[in-house]
Amino acid sequence: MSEKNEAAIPNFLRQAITDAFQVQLNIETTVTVNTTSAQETGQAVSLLDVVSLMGVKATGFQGSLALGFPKATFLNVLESMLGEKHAEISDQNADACSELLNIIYASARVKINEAGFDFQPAIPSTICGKEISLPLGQFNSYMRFHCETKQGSFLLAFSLKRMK
Amino acid sequence: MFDLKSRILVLDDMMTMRKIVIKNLKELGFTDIQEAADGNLGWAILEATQPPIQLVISDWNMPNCSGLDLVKKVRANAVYAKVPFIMLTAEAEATQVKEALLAGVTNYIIKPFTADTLKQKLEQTHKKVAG
Repeated sequence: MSEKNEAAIPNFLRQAITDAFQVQLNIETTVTVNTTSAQETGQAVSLLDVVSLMGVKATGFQGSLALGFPKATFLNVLESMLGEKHAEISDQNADACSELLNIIYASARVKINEAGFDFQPAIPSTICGKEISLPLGQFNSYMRFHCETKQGSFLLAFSLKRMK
Repeated sequence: MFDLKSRILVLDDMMTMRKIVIKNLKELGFTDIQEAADGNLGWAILEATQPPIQLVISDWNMPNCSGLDLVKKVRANAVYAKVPFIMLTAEAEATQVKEALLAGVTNYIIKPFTADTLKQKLEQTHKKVAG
């Protein structure tokens, strides 16, 4: 990423995460950002039980954005979101993960594009399972946003590759 | 404000978002709410429902027929052209808001949103169509 990207994108994503959870769910979120290489990320991302992923694209850039929750956090978030208890993650309720990722990306994209980029809308897809690992490619930059709430912790991962 | 007996159609491809919107509408006192996951299904409900749908609240990005395509179809049809149409979407760039307004949406709500925002937008929309 260019210097401008490194300075701008993490803050916009961090703000979008806290806004999405505060406004839509009334959940306070503390976000810690770690920038690491893809090779260093295996352990901490393997405890997720539902993950939504989208490919993101702008002129000269290609990457991915993923939002993942451990089961306990996700069920707590669902309860805050819908006002009803869910005992398990299902194909039906897992779309809450997609919706949150969609809101976070759309909200961050406005600010990122105001900073001179042209990231396009993207459609998330969601997978449920046990101890899912996030698929990683060969990226120039990989950031993990560790998010802590009273409902539990979750993760947002952002990777970006400069295209030639 | 809209009559609490108003017949409302909620469209979003995400079940959880439909549930949130419907929950908020019910908390405001609305009871006659229908839902669908895309614009094609929404159009079918519009055509099949009597008494007619009095308010559409629709997501933008949906498979088969988007909210933008649906509002264009609604505005081009003499029967439904005046149905209030609120776009409820994460798409927040000024160009997109403008595109939706030009296509004929009555109001625009950006996700994330609160129940209070939905209430305010419903009041605004009612004033707009009534006045």
